Amino acid sequence: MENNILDYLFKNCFSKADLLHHLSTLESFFEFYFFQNQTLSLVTSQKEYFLKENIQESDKEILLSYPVSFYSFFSLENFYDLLKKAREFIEKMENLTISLPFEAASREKEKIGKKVYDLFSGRRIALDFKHDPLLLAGCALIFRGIYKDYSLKNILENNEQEVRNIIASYA
Amino acid sequence: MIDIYLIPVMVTLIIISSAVTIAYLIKLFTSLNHKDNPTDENYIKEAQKKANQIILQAIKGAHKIMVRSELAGIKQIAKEKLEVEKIDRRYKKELETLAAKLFAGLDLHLEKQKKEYESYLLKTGKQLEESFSESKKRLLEKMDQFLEAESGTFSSFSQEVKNQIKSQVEEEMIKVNAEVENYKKARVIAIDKNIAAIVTAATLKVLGKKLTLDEQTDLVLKALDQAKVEKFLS
Repeated sequence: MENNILDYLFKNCFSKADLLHHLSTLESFFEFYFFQNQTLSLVTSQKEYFLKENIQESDKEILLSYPVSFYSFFSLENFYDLLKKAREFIEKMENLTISLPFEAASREKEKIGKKVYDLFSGRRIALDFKHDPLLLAGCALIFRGIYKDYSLKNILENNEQEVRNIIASYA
Repeated sequence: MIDIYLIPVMVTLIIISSAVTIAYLIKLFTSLNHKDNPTDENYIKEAQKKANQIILQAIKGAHKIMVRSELAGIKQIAKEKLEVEKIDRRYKKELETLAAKLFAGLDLHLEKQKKEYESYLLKTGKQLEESFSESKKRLLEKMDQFLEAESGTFSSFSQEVKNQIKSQVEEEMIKVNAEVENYKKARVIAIDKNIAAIVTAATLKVLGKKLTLDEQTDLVLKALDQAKVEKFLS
C-alpha cells in the first residue's frame, strides 16, 4: 500500500520539496475530512474544505489531482502513519538534479521521471528540474554531488577544435 | 569839379554885385560932394535914381542871363539826355546786332566744334579699337609664347605633383592595408577565442526554433541513457 501511495505521488510531483508539500496538503485535508466531516462524501467534503478553510488555488489543484482511488488508501486510523512513512521515505531518497534547455511541462517531467525510474530499476529518485537555455539540447545532471554535462553546448565545447576546423575550411 | 551850368550863374552874380557896388559907390560919392548944396541935391537924387535904374537894369540883365543860362542848361541837358538816349538806343542796337552776330558765330562755331568733336571721337574710337585689337592680338601672342615657354615647366611640375600624390596614396594604402590586416587578425583572434560561444549562440538561435518539445525531451532521455551507460546513474 505504501508503494501504491508513492506511485501516485510520483505521478504528480518529482522533487523532494514538492513531494513533501503534497504530503502536508493531504494531511491537512485528511484532518478536516476525518475529524469533522467524515459523514460527507469525499467530493462534497473537499468542496466544503475549500470553502471553510480558505485554501489556496495551488493546494486545491494538488488535492484535485489525485483520484478517488488514491484517497481510498487512507482512513482515520492510518492516514497519519502512511503519511509519516511516505515522508520518511522521501526524505531518505537520493536526489537527481536535471538541467534542461527548455521549460518542461508535467507531461515532459513525467516522461523523464519514468525514464529515471526505469534506469534505476524501480528505485525512487527525487528529481529537481532546472531550466538553462544555454545547454541548447540534451541535459546536465547533478547526482551524488557530481556534475555531468550531456548537453549539446558541452559537446560543442569539447569539440571546439573540430568546429574551428570546419569553420576554417569555409574561410 | 564845378558844374558847367553854374558858370553863368556865377558870372551873373559877379555882374550884379559889380553893378550894385558901382551904383553904391556913385550914390556914396554924390551924397558926400553935394550934401549942403540944394541944386546938388536934385542932382544926387537924379544920380541915385540913375544908380537905382542901373542896379535894376543890372538885376534884370542878370536875371535874363540867368534865365538864358538856365534855359541853355536845360537845353543842353535835354540835348545831352536825347544824345544819351540815342547813344543808348544805338548802343543797344549795336549790342543786339553784335550779340546776334556773336550768337550766330557761336552757333556756327559750336556746330563746327561739334562736328569736329564727333569726327575726332569717331577717329579716336577707331584708333582705340584698332589699338585695342592690336594690343589684344599682341597680348594673346605673348600669352601663347609664355604658355609655350612655361608648358614644359608646368608639365614637369605636374608630373612631380602626380608622383608625390601617387607616392602618398601608396603609403596610405600600405598603412590602410596594414590596419585592415591587423583588424582582420584581431577579429579572427576574437572569433577564435569566442568560437564556442559564437557557435553556441548560433545553435541556440537555430535549435531553439527548430526543435519541438518532444524532440528536446527525446534528447534528454538519450542523455540519461548515456549517463546510465557511463554508470553515472546507478
